[in-house]
Amino acid sequence: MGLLENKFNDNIIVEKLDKLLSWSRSTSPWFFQFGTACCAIEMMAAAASRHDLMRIGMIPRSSPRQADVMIVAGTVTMKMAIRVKKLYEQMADPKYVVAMGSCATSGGPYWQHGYHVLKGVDIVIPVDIYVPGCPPRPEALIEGLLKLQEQILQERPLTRKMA
Amino acid sequence: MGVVHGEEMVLNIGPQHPATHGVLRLQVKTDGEIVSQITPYLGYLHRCFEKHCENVTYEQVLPYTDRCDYLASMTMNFGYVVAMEELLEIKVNSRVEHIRVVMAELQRIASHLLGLGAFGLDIGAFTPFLHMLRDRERILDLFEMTCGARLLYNYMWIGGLSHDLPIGFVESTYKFLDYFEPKIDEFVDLLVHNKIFVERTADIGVMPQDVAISYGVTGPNLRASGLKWDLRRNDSYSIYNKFDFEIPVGEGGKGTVGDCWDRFYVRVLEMKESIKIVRQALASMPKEGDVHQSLPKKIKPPIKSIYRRTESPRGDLGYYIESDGSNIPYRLKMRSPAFTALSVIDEIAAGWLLSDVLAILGSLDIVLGEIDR
Amino acid sequence: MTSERDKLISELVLKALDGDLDSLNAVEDRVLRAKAKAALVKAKKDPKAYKAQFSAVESSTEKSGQKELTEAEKKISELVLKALDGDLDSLNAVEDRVLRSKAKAALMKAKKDPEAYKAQFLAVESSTEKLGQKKLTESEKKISELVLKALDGDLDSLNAVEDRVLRSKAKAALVKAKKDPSGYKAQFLTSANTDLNPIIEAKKTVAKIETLNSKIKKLSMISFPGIILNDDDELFLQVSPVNWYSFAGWLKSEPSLAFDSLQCQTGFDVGDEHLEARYNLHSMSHDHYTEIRIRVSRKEPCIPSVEKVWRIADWFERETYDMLGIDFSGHRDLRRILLPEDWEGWPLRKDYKVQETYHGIVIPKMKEGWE
Repeated sequence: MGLLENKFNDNIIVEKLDKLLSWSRSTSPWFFQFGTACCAIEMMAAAASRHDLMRIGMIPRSSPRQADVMIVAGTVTMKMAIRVKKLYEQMADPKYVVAMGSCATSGGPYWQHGYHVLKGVDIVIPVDIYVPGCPPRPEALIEGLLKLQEQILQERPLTRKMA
Repeated sequence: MGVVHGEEMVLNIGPQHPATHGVLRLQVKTDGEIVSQITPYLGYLHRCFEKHCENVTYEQVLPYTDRCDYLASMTMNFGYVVAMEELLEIKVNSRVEHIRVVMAELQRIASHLLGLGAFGLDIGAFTPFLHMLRDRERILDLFEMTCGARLLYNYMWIGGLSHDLPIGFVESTYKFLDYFEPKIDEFVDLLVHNKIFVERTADIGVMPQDVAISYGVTGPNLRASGLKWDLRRNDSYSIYNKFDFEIPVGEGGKGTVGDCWDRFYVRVLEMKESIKIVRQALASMPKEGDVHQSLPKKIKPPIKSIYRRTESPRGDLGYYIESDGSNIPYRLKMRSPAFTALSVIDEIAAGWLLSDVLAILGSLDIVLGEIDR
Repeated sequence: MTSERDKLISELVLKALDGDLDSLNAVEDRVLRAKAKAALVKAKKDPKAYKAQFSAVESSTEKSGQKELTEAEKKISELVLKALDGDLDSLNAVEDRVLRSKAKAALMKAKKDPEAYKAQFLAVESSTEKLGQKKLTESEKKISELVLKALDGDLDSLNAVEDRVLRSKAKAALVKAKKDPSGYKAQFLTSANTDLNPIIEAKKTVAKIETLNSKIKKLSMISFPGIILNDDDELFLQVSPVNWYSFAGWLKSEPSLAFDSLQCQTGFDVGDEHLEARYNLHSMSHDHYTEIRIRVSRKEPCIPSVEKVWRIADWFERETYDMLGIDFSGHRDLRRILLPEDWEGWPLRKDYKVQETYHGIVIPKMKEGWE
């Protein structure tokens, strides 16, 4: 897709093709489980028996090369921040990031005296969806992911403008 | 034909794992299959817990202790509260003690379920993981009924609890225990005596008793090496001396004493003992009593220091608290059981195959939040 | 004025200074009364001097703490003491209105400082109070029985009492006892509480530790004279860092001590120019504990490493070095364990200032609006 992106003018064929592409991208984003701390357990619980993430099309992958969405679940520390950036760069386009939990959003309960805590993962990588909570319930995470799917559905990768 | 020697290379396992143990980096020196040295690198989750404790009041430390070992928050709270109540010389009433024991034992069952499920997942068995999580969700329902939270409760306060038991808790717990007891037998059938599982875990990663004591390993890991040491019996706190329960010890059921299979089986047996304790505690719980009765109005401990240990699902958790007379701790150190359990990995895992190293790591049941604090 | 009148006036003023204005108001002679009131106003400016001036006679009885009590005062003090312990009925049952109002006034005053009032009036009753048992009347005994039964769950016997007054008193006592059931039981039962009392257990442990510490000090005099720097009566042993490694080995190998596990090692910032390392040791075979503290200066903190004695000291010392900067000599690989290798500063010291950026990433939270 990299060669063809944003190259075409708006016409009927390209528009229909756009819709097909964004629909197929949104309905099966595979997520890269970057779980650090307590929120990782809730992410695992969201993917497991009771709240099943696979029914909305998301499969957990352990390697960044095979994933579309990176869910940053848990506190990111300074030592880890460099690795987060590297992992983000290893993901293939199109890629999205979900910041799960209050530690990933803004530093969480460690914002005041945490000298080693990164106050929000959006300092190092661009974030699309923020899911607040400490930890957020699995239902909250699923809502965040559904919003991400809606956001992806609205993209128009081939034409030069956003619908 | 001679033996083919490869070159020795240095591999990195981590820091990003499939999210069971957390962010841990193991630097492994191997020649392709056999590992000659392992060096763990920690600190990827160092969240400055001790620095926070020096700047907030004693009650405000409780939510931070939750987040250290997030799989067993009730017991983390319990340890802190026991240490503080000894420092302040507060005695709580009998109903509070009973409820605390019930919650701590249910939390022990939940933590062991996740630990064992994750161990199975590391070995390659995916189904027991889903079964364990399904049963764990029912325990989390009970906790949510009481205090509103699924994972990080902040339930045990200094001098009492935050909420009393709701109506219907006792009946729901009995229903859960009746449902859960046969599930343990089902789990034993599925995994414990499974031939593949036994081949992968028996005789692997043997930890002798003197190595365990010198490295400070405690809890189920030490009991699997044959030593009967449980803080609920030997250094009793709260009302544990009233209940009748066994302490399971590793006996080398499928191989040597102190191997991975023993560490696994001891945890399974401990879940059964916890069910016994919960039943006894619910039966003898007094119906009258105010859980907010002994909450102190102001917490200003005398100028002294205290070190108190309690039994968490991973070992013995110690809190060293030093107060200087004000309402903010001067120094608070948490001695975490998983820290000492991880330090022994070089000793017991060197010389095994690469896949065995992951089995040994899984059998130690570590949580990175507690190690890095 | 005659000396007799002076004596009378001084008596009245002294009584009034102690709170009893009735005898002064009861004087019929108007002139005497006016003079006494004027003397009272003057004495109130400096009551102690007045008393010292006029109570040479009464000083002998006052030294024992007992005042010369009249019949009425004795009765008032009895009633007030009972009311302080919670029994207001005997006070309300007094028929003489004047006496009842005096008793209530004395009760209000006594409530401000109950201990002093009791100490003043209880020379006789102190022996029975030492046993913790109050002198119970017949009805009080019955009430305590009913309340104890109700605390254990049996409310029927309480509800079956026919005397309405007794029943209501018992219910009131039950409400009060529910606030602290174990305290009530301890008051009225001689059998001991079987719950594990953490306070008692802690005191037992303290006693055990103190004897153990003195034993260690005695034994260490033989091979390590002068290594323990503090007295016997504290819960820890202050050890000098000079010979610490061999002392630690001795602690582990000595058969009567056998400290084979290092439970916890903490680093401390003591404040004034000193850092401390504290070791909590435990023996598996003898099941005893001790705590060892080693103090070093802030400029050159250096303690010998004991990682060859207890293997876990390896990681504990790395963590103490990481957080506080104490250097452990003889450690095979002393580097930071929790923080990155290129971090600057020792975080748990009290004078630590966080660095501004780390590899280009900003550390403090950027302040916005609501903060």
